[in-house]
Formats: sequence, structure tokens, C-alpha cells
Amino acid sequence: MSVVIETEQLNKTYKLGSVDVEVLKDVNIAINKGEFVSIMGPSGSGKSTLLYLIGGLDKPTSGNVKVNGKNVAKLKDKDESIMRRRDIGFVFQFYNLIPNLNVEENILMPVLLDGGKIKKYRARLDEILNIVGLEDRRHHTPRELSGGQQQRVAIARGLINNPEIILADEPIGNLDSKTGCEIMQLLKRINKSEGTTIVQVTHSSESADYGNRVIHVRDGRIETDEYK
Amino acid sequence: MNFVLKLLIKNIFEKKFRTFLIIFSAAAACALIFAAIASSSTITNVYIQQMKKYTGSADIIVYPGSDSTSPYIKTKEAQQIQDKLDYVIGCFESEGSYESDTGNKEKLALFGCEFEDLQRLNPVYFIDNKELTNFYGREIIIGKDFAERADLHKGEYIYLNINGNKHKYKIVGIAQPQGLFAEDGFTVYAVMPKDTLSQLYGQKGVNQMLYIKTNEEFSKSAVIESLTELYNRYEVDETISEEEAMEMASMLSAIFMVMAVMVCLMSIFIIFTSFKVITMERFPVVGTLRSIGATRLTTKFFLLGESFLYAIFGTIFGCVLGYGVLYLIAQLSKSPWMPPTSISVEFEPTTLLIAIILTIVVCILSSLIPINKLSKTPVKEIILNEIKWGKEKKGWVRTIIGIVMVTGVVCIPPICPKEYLGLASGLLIIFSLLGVILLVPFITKVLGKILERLFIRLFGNIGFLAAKNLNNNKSEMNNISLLAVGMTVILIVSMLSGNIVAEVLDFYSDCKFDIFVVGGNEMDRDFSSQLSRSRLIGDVHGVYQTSSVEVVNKNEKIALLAGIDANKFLDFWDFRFELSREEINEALNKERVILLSNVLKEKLSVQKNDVITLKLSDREKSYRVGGFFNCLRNMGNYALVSEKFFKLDTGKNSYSEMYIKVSNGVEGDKVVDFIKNDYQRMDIFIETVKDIQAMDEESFTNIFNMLKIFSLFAMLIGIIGIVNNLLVSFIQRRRYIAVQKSVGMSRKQTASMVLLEAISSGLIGGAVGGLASALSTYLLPYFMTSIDMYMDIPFRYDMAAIAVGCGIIVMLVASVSPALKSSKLNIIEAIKFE
Ligand SMILES: Nc1ncnc2c1ncn2[C@@H]1O[C@H](COP(=O)(O)OP(=O)(O)OP(=O)(O)O)[C@@H](O)[C@H]1O
Ligand SMILES: [Mg+2]
Repeated sequence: MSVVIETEQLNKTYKLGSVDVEVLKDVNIAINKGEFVSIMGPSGSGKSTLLYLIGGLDKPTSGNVKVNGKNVAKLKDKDESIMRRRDIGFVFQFYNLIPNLNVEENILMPVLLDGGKIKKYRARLDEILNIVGLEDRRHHTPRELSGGQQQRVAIARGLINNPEIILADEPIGNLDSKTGCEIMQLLKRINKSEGTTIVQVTHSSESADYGNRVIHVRDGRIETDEYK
Repeated sequence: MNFVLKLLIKNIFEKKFRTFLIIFSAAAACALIFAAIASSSTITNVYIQQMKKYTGSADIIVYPGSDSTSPYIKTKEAQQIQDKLDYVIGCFESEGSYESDTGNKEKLALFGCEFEDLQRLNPVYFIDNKELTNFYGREIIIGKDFAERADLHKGEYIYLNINGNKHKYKIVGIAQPQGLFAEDGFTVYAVMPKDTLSQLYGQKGVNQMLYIKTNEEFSKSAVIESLTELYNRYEVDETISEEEAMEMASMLSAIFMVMAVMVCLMSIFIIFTSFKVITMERFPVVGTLRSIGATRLTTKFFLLGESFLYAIFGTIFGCVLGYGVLYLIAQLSKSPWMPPTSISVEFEPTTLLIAIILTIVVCILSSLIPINKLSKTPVKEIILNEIKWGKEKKGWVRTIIGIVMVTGVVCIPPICPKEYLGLASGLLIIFSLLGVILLVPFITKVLGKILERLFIRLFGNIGFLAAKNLNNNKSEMNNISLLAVGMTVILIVSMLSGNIVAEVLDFYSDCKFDIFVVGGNEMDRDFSSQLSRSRLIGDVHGVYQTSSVEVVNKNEKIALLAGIDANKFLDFWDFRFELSREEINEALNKERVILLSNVLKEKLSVQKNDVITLKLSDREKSYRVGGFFNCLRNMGNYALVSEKFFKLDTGKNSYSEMYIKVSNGVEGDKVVDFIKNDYQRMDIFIETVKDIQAMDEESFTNIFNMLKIFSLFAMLIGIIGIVNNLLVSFIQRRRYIAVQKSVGMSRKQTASMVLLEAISSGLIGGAVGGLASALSTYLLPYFMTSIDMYMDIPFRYDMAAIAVGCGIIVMLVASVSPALKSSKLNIIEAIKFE
């Protein structure tokens, strides 16, 4: 099995005035293709920070993050952007969608940014809308959708370019348990059928149960790392 | 309550730029309204001041006319009604010429007057600040400018050529360039004791002109009436027609008012949109206040108090600013020869009060809608931050109101009765702006769709996203509206001024001659034939004229009526007649026939062959309307009859105007100098058409500079408003921009998206502004008609294109900072916080 995500001695320190806040300390993890990893831990332990560093949204203080063998921190803005369009799909807890674009346009965002022609993606779009179950909502704007539906659109957007990795920060944190369940099942299905590597941050062990591996973080260190 | 007040002040100082923007908007509204209202009295005052050079504080003058038996006049008769008068001052006026050592000649108007009289009539201030105790015999006072030119000093002697002889006078004072001694490029005055001057003509104790001031307790018109009886063979005139000055001033002030209201609209708009944001920001505070038991009223007062505070600061700065604007207007309306210190800014305290109250009302009203909305919202929603603004469902209502307003604006003026046209068209200009602003979302939607297609071709997918972002984007709409209104104000001013200047130039393009002569009562046939015998002069034509001719049973006057020799007239003026030269000639000479300009045709609402009755020299004479023509002379208010009937009916025997064509190869200026020299004693005004044109252009330039002050405000408010909107919009959008970046939007793409948005809102704003200014150019002629100016204002596409270009540049420049901020945005922070 090939390693898609790898961190080496990853450190992240925030400077708050004269105080250094060490958020991540010497984190080493390796995630293989097709894994479904849940990162858990108390609030403030550094879960989101870790996820953002993997996605290149932030730079590490020291150490490396490699995605598909490429050192994320060393990428130029352009290449980093391209990596985010093609290789990684992001799903956040809030504010995932652009309000003045409709569902289709939101989903196609990475394609648009990549300079792709919308026409060529018709089939792929239908397929994805089918996967997330929003065929009949394609022309709606985000404010006409429920929270769960919005989250599904965000996931669909993450999938449009067939990325190898989906990074999700508490994707169901803002949803009721039934809708949360549906979203988790959707992610699981994608993981199985497309072979997409999924890394999610979650507070609920139920949602962690959908994955095959759980990493516990405490005070910026990996506490446990278990496969099921 | 104390706590609430503290909170209030803290709120205001929290957002400095926005506070500045709101206060500046309020101040601008206050300043311009104040200046527009007060401009009328200030300009009137300036005009009167200017005319006072010649007549000082006198309000009536009496002088010998063509009927008089003597060229002189006595004060005796006036003394009979002395109790009604402040003074009667008799003066002797003449002319002399001064020749310097170098041979330069200068003409001096000699004013013979006792010194005490002069001080009452038109006070003289000496440059050495000394008083003159004794003014007697061969003494003279000259002006500072002339003294400098001629290098003359107090105590020296000056030699003047008067009435053919050379005389020597002692300079006893050099006067400040004020009043009589202010040089206006026409007349340079010098003052001598009255008898010293009159003796040169073998007279003593006589006057050529009486200057009279009515006692304040008596009515001027009654005094004029009695004087007319007492001096029945003399001319009695009001010195300056105050009404004329006021008319001109109120016309300008009406235009200023429309401008001021437009700028006010921008202010209202800015305050309104700012208050939407403010109330949104105040949610937490209001929520807390409400949850701890404050009533709706208290929270409302809390927010209204904020808007009231802005209004107070706005009016304070506004009054100062308004005074400044008024001062500028006064300076611009004065002739260049008047010293700046002689100008005073005139306004009634009530004007200030009106401006202050209006500003406060504007502030409160434009903040009331958002505040009401907030105070009506249930506490729970406020606390949970769930309030929903702008319901989209209502979009079509807005569009329909907008369409109705614009339709009204187009349809009403042609059917509006004339007496209401001024007010109606003034209001409609404002309604056209409001209507167009209401249509902004609709227009944006339509044009946005077009731009999407266009931009995707031109700039790829980022262009598409940028165009998409305009849809339903509040702050982009606000920017479009601001840009549009600002553009409209600027475009109106430039189109109006461009057009009037063009018409002024056009007026002279009607002239087929080189020199224009305007005379008192001395230009007769002799003079005309003497001139035409000159080698320098090709052809001469004189016309008889009279102004303000009453048309019996009509409410309108003919502003200028000329008696012409039709045969010659057409060689000198290029008016566009319906009839041929032969037909005109025949028609005019056979019987009493009048040719009217098309403007008069409209005003008098007459048809060809109608008969109108004119009141000429107190007798009524009927003229048949023989045809119409188009001219720019006198704003198109001009009528022609044959000189034969004109002389019969008015008894006038001297030409009012003469037109001169110079001989081939001769320069106009030379001919002017020659006539000025050879006919020195004649009281005529003579200039080349070219020079008059230049003078006119200058005076119009000044008027338009006044208007430009208003457009400057529009521009400033517009730009500051746009910058503020972009900042607000950036803050509101940073999360979404972060999301876009998280799915792979690069820095370059982010920056280009923001800049392309700027270009597209610039384009749409330009289109909306174009529409609004097209409506205004349609309405302005109606507005001008009501103040007796007749002109078409063609929509200038070139200017509109420049304005759109500038609009885009403004948007782009204002977007540089948000674009940079967006591209450097820290994704995590933007997503995590707020
Ligand atoms: N910009 C920053 N400046 C300073 N400290 C920061 C910054 N961002 C995060 N931190 C700190 O880093 C630590 C980890 O934050 P992080 O968001 O990764 O926590 P988390 O595990 O995701 O918590 P939660 O479950 O509450 O989301 C926290 O203690 C936080 O205070
Ligand atoms: Mg987190």
C-alpha cells in the first residue's frame, strides 16, 4: 500500500506576544491510500491545526508534510493551489459554500479554478449529484438548502476533481445526529467506491466508527493511533 | 442611561473611517444645501456690488435725455422732495486723455464731484490712509493701478488733455482700487472738484448727472414717480436693477439646488447603507440590552441617538464647509477686477437653520428604516443573530416601482403645465435618480448575465466567477448606485457646461461681421456713413433696438426687439429663416410685420399671420406675425421688425448696435483702436467679436466652476463611499474568499477576481449612470425653460464614455487594497473567527 500523507517531526508554534504556544509537537504520522482516518481529542489539542497543515492551509514551524511525496510547505502558491484543486478536497464545519453561486456552480468551483470547461464535466457532475443525492437541487442557491444538504454540496465539491484525499474538519459538528449519520455514510461510501483517502476531525466516537483508524491527539502530541 | 451614552460614544469611535464617512456625508449635504439656498442672496449681492462701481450708494439717477432742452441738470427740483431723500448729489462728468513721456495714451473718465459728496456716494480710500481735508481748484485724485502704470505719485503734477486743451493738475490722493477706482478694463476714473471740471466747459454750478438716494422710510418707486414729474424732460432711472441681479442669481441658485439635492441623495444613500451595517453590528449590544430588560423604545433611542450624534457633528462641519463653498461661489461670481476683500458672503440666519434641520432630518430618516427593522425583531432572533435583511421576494416590487418612476419621468414633462414645469422638472430629476437606483439590482442582473458570457471569453473562468459575484451582492449594488449617482452629477455638469459654452460659441458663429459696437444715444446715420467711408472698414450696419417689449394680453415680454434694414441685416447675421431674403424684405416693408424667433413663437404661442399688439412708447401697435427664425442671440428671445416702422412707433433715432465688417486684410483690433481714438468723446462700447466671445466664455467658465464645486463633492462622497463599501464588503466576504482559496484559488486568481469584479461593477455603474444622465439631459431643458433659458442638451457619448472609463479606474484603484488583502488572506483565520 502506498503512503499518500506523511508528516515528519511536525511542529507548529504560535507566537502570542512573547509567549510561544506549542500547538503541535513532533507529530509523525503516515496515512495510506484508501484509509479512512478519524482524528480525535479534546478541544484545543491541535486537531484542526494538524488537518490544515496537511492541506497546506498553514505552514509548519518545523518538520515536513508530504502529500504524494511532495513537500507541501515548499510548494509555490500556484502549485499549492493546484494541489488543493486536484488532489485534496476540503470540508469545513461552517461556511462551506459561496452564497451567490448555485449548487452546480459551487460544486464545479475547483474545476473552474483549474480552467476546465464546464461542459466536459456534465457527466461527472451528474454522477456526483447522484452520489450525494442532490440531483433535484442543482439550481438552488445555498441559502435555499438545509445544513445537511449544504454539507453534501461541500462534499460533492471536494469530489468533483476525483481527488485522492478528502480532509474534513468536524463535517457533522453542526448537524443533527440523523443528518450526521447520512453524511458519514456518504463519506464511507465514497471511501469504499472511489478509493478516496479520508481524514476527518471529529468529536463523536460514533462518527469515528465509520473509519478504519482513529488517531487521538492530546496537547499537540499523538496519544494513540489505532486501527480497527 | 449614562451607561448607554458611554456605549454610544465608544461605538462611534470604534470605526473611525465609517464615522468619518457618515459625518462627511452629512456635512456635505448640510454644506451644499446651505450654499445652494444662500447662493441666491450672495450672488445678488456680488452683482450689485459690481454695478456699484458706477453708481455707488445711489439708487436713482437723473440725467438729460434726447428731449431735454439743456445738456445740464439742476438739483433744485429734487430738493422739493428732499425729506424723502437721503441725498441729491450733482456731478459733472467728462473725459480726458493722459499721455505719458513714452507716448502711451490713456483715456480717463473724469468725475467732477465735491469730496464730501463723493464720500457719501462712493467712498474713496487712500493708499496712505490719510484723510483729504481740502479738495479744491486744480487738484485730482487718481486710482492706484493707473498711478502705477503712469508712474505717478502723490504731490506730483499730471497733464491732461481735456476738451482740446492741455491742463495741469496736482495729484492730492491715490485711491485704493475700490468702488469708483476699481478697474474693470472699461473705464479708468479720476476725480476732480466739480467746478474745476465744469469751468473747462464754461459752466459753473451745473451738473450732468444727479445721484439720488431714497430715504429708507420711503418707497423707491414712489420717489421715482415724483422725480419723473419734477424732471419731465429728463431721464429718471433706477441705478441698478436689483431684480435683474436677483433673477440671474436665482437661476444659478436653482441649478445649484438640483445639484445639492443630488449630492444629498448620495449622502442619504451612504448613511442608510452604513446604518444597515451599524445596526447589524449592534446586534449583540442591542440583544444584551433587550435581554436585560430594555424596552424597544430604549434600544431605538440608543441607535437613533447614534445617528443624531453623527448629525450634530455633520452640521457643525457642514456649516463651516458651507460657508467655504459660499465664499468660493462669491469669489467666482465676481469680476476679476474686484478685489477679493470687497466680497461679502450674504445669508439669512434662517437659511442656516433650514440647512441644519434638513441635515438632521436626513440623518435620522435615513437611519430610521434599518433601526425600525431591528427594534421590531424579536429578542431571540437578535441574540441568535438570525435577523434577515433584504427579502429577495420583494425584488420585483422594487423593480416595478423603479420602472414606474422612470416612465413617469419621461412622460410627465411634455404634458406638465408651464407654471409648474420648473418645480416638476427639478423634482423629476431627483425622481429619475431614485428610479434608476431602484432599478440597479434588476439592471445588474441583466447586465451581469451578459458580462458572465463576455468575461468567460475574455478572462476565463475567473471572469465568470467575478461577474457571478455581482449578483445579489449588496455592497456591489451600493457601489454601482454610488458610482451611477456620482457619475450623473458630474456628467450633468459637464454636459451642461459643454453645451452652454458651445452655444455661446455658436451664438458668435451667427455673426458674419468682425466688430460689435453698442452705443448710448449718439450713433446715428452720420456716424455710420463716416465709418463706412474709412479705408479700413468694409461695411457697416446699424440696428435700432429696444428691450422688454410688452405684448398686450400675453404674459410674456419680447426681451429684445430690433428694427432692421432687412436687406442688409441678412448679410450680417446668419439667422435661420423660413422665408427667403426677398420674401422677408417684402413682408417687412409693406406693413407692420414682425418676425419672431422660434423661442418667442413658443412663449407667445402664436401662429403665422396672427396679430400681436406691442406696447411701444406707451402706444399700442399691432403687428402681424410674418414668420419665424432660429437664432441664439439673447437665448433665442429676439424679434425683428423693419426699421421704418420701428422708428415711427418708438421715436428712436439712434442706433443701439452697429456691426462692422473690416476690409480685407485689416485686423479687427486695429479698427477698434482707430475708432476708439477718433471717436473718443462718444459713449460707445466697441470690441471685436472675438474678444467679446472670449469675455463671455470667461464669465461662463466661472459659472461652471461654481457647478464644479458641487460635482467635486459628489465625486468625493462617491469615492469615499465606494472605498468604505469595498472595505465592508471585504470583511463580509473574507470567509467565502477563504473557502474559495481552500479549494484551490491561487493568490493571483483571487486578486484578479476582485479586480474583475471592480471592472464589472464599474461597467454596470457606468451603464446605470449613463441611463440616469440621459434622463437628466432630457429633463434639464424643461427645467431651464422654467428659468427662461432655451436649449437642447444633447447627450454626449464621448463624455459618458470618459466617465465610464474614470468610473472603472476609480473602482479599480479603490479595489487594489481589498484585492491585495484578499490574495494574502490567511485562510484559517478567516474561516475560524467571526
Ligand atoms: N492563530 C493562532 N494564534 C495563537 N494560537 C492559536 C492560533 N490558532 C490556534 N491556536 C491555538 O492552538 C491550539 C489548537 O487549536 P486547534 O484549532 O487546532 O484546536 P482543535 O483541536 O481543533 O480544537 P476544537 O476541537 O475546539 O476545534 C489552541 O490552543 C489554540 O488556542
Ligand atoms: Mg478544531
